[in-house]
Amino acid sequence: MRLTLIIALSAFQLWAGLHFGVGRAIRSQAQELSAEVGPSRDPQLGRPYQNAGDVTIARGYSNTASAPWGAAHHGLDFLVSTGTRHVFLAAEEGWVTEIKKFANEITGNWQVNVKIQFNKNFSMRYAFEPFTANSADADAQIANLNISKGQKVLKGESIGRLVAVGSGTHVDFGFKKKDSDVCPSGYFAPDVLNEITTSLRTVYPGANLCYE
Amino acid sequence: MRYVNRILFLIISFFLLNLAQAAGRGRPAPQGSGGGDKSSRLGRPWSIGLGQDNINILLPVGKKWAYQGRLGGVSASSGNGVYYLGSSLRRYFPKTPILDFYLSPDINISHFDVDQAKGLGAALGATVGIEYRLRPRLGLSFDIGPYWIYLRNFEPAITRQSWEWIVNTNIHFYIR
Repeated sequence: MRLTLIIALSAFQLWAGLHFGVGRAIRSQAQELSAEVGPSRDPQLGRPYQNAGDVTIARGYSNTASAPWGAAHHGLDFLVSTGTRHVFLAAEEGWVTEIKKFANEITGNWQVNVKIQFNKNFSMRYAFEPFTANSADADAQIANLNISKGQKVLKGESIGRLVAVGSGTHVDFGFKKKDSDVCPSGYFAPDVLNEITTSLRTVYPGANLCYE
Repeated sequence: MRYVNRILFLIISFFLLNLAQAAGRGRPAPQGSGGGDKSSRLGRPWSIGLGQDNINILLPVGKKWAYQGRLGGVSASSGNGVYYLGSSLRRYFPKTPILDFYLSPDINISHFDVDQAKGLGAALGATVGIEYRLRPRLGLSFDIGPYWIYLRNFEPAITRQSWEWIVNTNIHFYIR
């Protein structure tokens, strides 16, 4: 009888995949969740735009006003021509955790920020800035996005089109590591980095992409 | 490590089954216990305990009831690991003067930081178990049951839920 019970218990626990303690069971499930949240590796950024010929890099990343563009700027500005609807892409895979429309306190213009969380440590921010004080244009910008909050996007997938209303319309591409803005140059694929840097140097000859 | 746990489980199972059988064969009741009064040792004192991944306290709340509060944690290869607070209520079913069966609903809340996942979670379950009094001030308990585990990641706000079988073992040091 005792042997039967032991065999039955052993068979049951082998079959059931028992967890020994609540903490271990939660950890096991958290590991499963971790795989859904994002990869453990660092991001490898691709092109944030669809066609290189459609955009000009107007400003790079800087922590200091001594950069060629004369101001601290925590992002890369991808400038487009007025009246266009150019497509922007997810530079890496991730979860859309924020889509926010608001009026920029400095310029007074509306903008729409999209945040894509790559993993626990890294996120990307696309600030769609149509350069307009008209709220309806910002609504049009939201309507031109292909994504929604809570959605997973793949690398290279279209985020949406930038509605270029005013002169100076651009996407400000920000990159964060552990909630701090960082220069993304070390995370771009070499060909993309070369493409972006070359574009920036058409505006600021000899400039670096980042000044820290 | 996984197999170490499973072997440990077998050893504990074997040990407890032996004890249960020995107790069931009619180990003499302690003098003054009232002979057949199985509940005479209940209304037990409080204890501090050690579980596989927690420290706990067991407080009597009635003749056949006890509350167990737990503070536990496990590490992770990346991240701060899992910390949890647990509460359970044991309803004892005395078997012999040294052996009790019990049923126990169990609620746990947790903070986890494991690899890419970071957030809050809960584990709700109900277990059935036995507690054996090795010495007057030393007890060993063992229970098993199904738990519903719910985890919510901070950002992105994705969730995961599942049913898991969990085994809890504790050593209780009775204080008075």
